[in-house]
Amino acid sequence: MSEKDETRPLPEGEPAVSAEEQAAASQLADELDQALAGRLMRPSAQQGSLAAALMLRASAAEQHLHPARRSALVDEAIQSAQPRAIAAARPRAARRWAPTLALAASLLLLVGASLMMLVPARKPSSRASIPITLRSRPSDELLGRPFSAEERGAASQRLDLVFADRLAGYRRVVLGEEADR
Amino acid sequence: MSTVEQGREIAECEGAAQEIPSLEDALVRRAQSGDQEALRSLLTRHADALYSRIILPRTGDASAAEDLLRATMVTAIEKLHTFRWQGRSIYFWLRQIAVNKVIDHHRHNQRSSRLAQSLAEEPDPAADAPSRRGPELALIAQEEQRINSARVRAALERLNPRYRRAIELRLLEELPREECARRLEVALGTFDVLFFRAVNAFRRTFGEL
Repeated sequence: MSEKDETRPLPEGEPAVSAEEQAAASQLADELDQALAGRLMRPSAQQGSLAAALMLRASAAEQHLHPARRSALVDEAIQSAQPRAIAAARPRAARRWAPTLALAASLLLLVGASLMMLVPARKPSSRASIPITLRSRPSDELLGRPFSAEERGAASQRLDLVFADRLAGYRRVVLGEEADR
Repeated sequence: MSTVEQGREIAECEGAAQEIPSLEDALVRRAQSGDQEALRSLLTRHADALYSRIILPRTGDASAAEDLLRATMVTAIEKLHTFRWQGRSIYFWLRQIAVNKVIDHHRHNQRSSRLAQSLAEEPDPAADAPSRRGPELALIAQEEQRINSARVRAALERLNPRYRRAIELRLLEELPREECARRLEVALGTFDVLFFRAVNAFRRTFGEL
């Protein structure tokens, strides 16, 4: 059979061409033309075939980056990575300065502790001016001596005594002179 | 490329490559110290080789190849502090990053996951090059191109001769569709189908190699 016979253009044994296959073949042909012309391609059903065709072409002969495009990609990469590269570099700088900082902090703590030991403690300034009934205090003075085992059952009475004392102090804080009326 | 041209290229590479250990070592150290100009110089030096020999032949799509090259360089910058000079060009370290990016790219694409597996099993032409001498870089570059071409040839050899011819005319000789159809003595639409089937047959074969 002559190769000019357009009814048998495909290799022997190949199936006949369907309308869908013809459409897909035309789409691949158009997309390949666009790719070879350097135009951006949208993802399509022929993406896999197109990629295979371009890989084949790129493997057969080297295709180089234009120097301007190469420089642009390098600059973009440096800009994208810069914050993270700086963050990655920080621990190294920190590791270099860490011993010095630790020593300085220790010395400061030592000096501060020494100063605190040398300086006399300050006396409370206005504590004496506050009546005892209004100050935070233990209840020993109110309850008196430690109670015996036989007096265990009177716990609720002791609690009532403490509560009344504290409540009286609270009334004076809130009501002032009116609390004694 | 003729034998004479190859020899000239190797001689030029040998001359330039003698300076690689000292010059590139200094660039790497300066880049690791935060010198941006050294970093830019280092990346510019190897960007085109990574693109044309490693990434583009394994992806095909120029746009995707540029994205992968950019991602390769970003990763290299972020991990540069982990690189230790061992007497050979940083190109091999960059190359491995680029290959890994390409493999991840294909793994994310279900249509080319088999290709990803094939790429992962590819031998590394730099694996047996421990020498400190510069000419290895030129030889590695030749080896990369040889591997790329050999993979394509092996896949083409397994195709039907008419399919193979359609691919050779359209992609290797880069002829327009109309000229391809004329040479094969078929209508344009018929050539499109012939080429379409040829590429799909190539995909199946290439992914198995």
